[in-house]
Amino acid sequence: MALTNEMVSAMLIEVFETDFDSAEVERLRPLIERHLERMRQLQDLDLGNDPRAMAYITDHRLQP
Amino acid sequence: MSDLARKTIHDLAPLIERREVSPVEVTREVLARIDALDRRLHAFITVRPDEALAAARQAELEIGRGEYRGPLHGVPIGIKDNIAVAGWPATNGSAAMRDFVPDYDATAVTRLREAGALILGKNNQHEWALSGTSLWSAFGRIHNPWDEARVPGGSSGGSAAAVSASLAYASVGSDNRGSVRIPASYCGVVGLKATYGLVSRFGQLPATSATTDHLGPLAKDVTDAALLLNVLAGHDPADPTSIRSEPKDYTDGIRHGVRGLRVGVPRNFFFEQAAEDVQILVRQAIEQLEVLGAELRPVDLPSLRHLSFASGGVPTEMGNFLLPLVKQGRSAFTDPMLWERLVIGQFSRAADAIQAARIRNLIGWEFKAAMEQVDLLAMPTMMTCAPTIEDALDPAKRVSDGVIVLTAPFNLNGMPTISVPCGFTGEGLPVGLSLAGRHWEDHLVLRAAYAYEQATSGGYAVPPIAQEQAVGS
Repeated sequence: MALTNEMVSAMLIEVFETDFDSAEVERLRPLIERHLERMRQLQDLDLGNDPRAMAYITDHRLQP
Repeated sequence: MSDLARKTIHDLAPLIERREVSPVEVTREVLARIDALDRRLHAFITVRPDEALAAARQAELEIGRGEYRGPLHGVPIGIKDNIAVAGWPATNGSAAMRDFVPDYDATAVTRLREAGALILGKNNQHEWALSGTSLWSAFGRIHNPWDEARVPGGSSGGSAAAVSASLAYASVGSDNRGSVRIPASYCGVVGLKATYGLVSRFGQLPATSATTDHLGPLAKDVTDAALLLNVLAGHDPADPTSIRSEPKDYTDGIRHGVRGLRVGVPRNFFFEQAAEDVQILVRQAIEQLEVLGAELRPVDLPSLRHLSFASGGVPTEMGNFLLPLVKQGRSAFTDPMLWERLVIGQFSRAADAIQAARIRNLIGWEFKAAMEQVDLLAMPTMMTCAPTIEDALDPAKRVSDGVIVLTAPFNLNGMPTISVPCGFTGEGLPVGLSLAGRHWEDHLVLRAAYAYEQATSGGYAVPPIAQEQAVGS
């Protein structure tokens, strides 16, 4: 996902409620792009239909 | 190095019990070693000689009165700096926490004190325990005792360096993605992450990620790790994830060997990512288990191909805890990459965390199925021996990302796992064999590690920096 510096700056303000200087925005932009791409790949993963995988967390210590 | 400093706890304890060696003498010995060597290793953030010696004198009096408490009585031990010791700073390797002094002991510390152990100092670590390198701490860069140009691994790097160089007889670290086992492997000592819920995390400051955090011992050999676990294990109502379990002597049965045990050797993931010299040493170690009577079986764990999604990039408690500090900007952190990672982590969504949890579950089920076919798993602890500091500082080499890859699965699944030294590369650097067992079968993990250790190295190996320092020791 291609982001502009303006988009990144707005995203940072939304989360951190503070202005980042332009050099910092420029430095963070490719890192945030890469992270969002990774999270998109995560959402696109086909994890199959095993119902056990649908649970949020299973505590394997407690299984008989 | 003196014979006294070199000793393991199980060698030292009978001498203390018989009053052939005084805890005061032992404490003076390690304090002198810290004084001589720690300016090079930076394994400690806080050392309080007067308090340690006062506790040693108290232990000496108790033992003199016939009130010997057991093998840790009068033995100086380090504590990672993210674990609370009442009245001592707990900096977590961060300048922001320089003046933070908890007024209570972590349960692990309480139990060690009750067993008579002497709290010698707080071990240095990677800033906020958020990297497996120990490259960055506000209190000095920790160096590997086997080669000072290399990282010790982390985040419990000071703990491992101190034990390896005989600046402490053992240490307690924390392990969220491998932070006990990584430095144990790189520094040539034993690191044990017990079953999730066996060792209380109460007093770990703060939780890194509560469902994957563990506290565990770093020790000179397997027997010492078992002695530490004897004290650390047990239910703690102050830790909501602590599970009631019967008290156990983990040294019981440790000599029963591996004959008849089924040892699973993963066909995918672990070996395929390991460097050739590591692969050779670990495969030799596994062959040794077979020579000792274990039956080797191949195991497949295909979901591990998704591990990076389950283990990184998703929100954690630590990410949230540190948000106010992150808002202060890059300068609030010593590790220049850490601030960036924490900023980026804020752009994960709840949907990402749920998908990552599904992957974690799949991996957990696969391990569970595998453990119905075998009693133990054996594989490399790390992909490589300890990287150089120069390589670790190079962002292009992504060393920090790579160091947790082989250890993180066992934080996600909570299985007991140990790293035991299994030889040296051509450069003379230690390599670790990882052995993992079913939940609550920590004793089997220790038993197999002990069998391997006794059949090969015999235990603790002294690194060069400790050998060269004979003055005053």
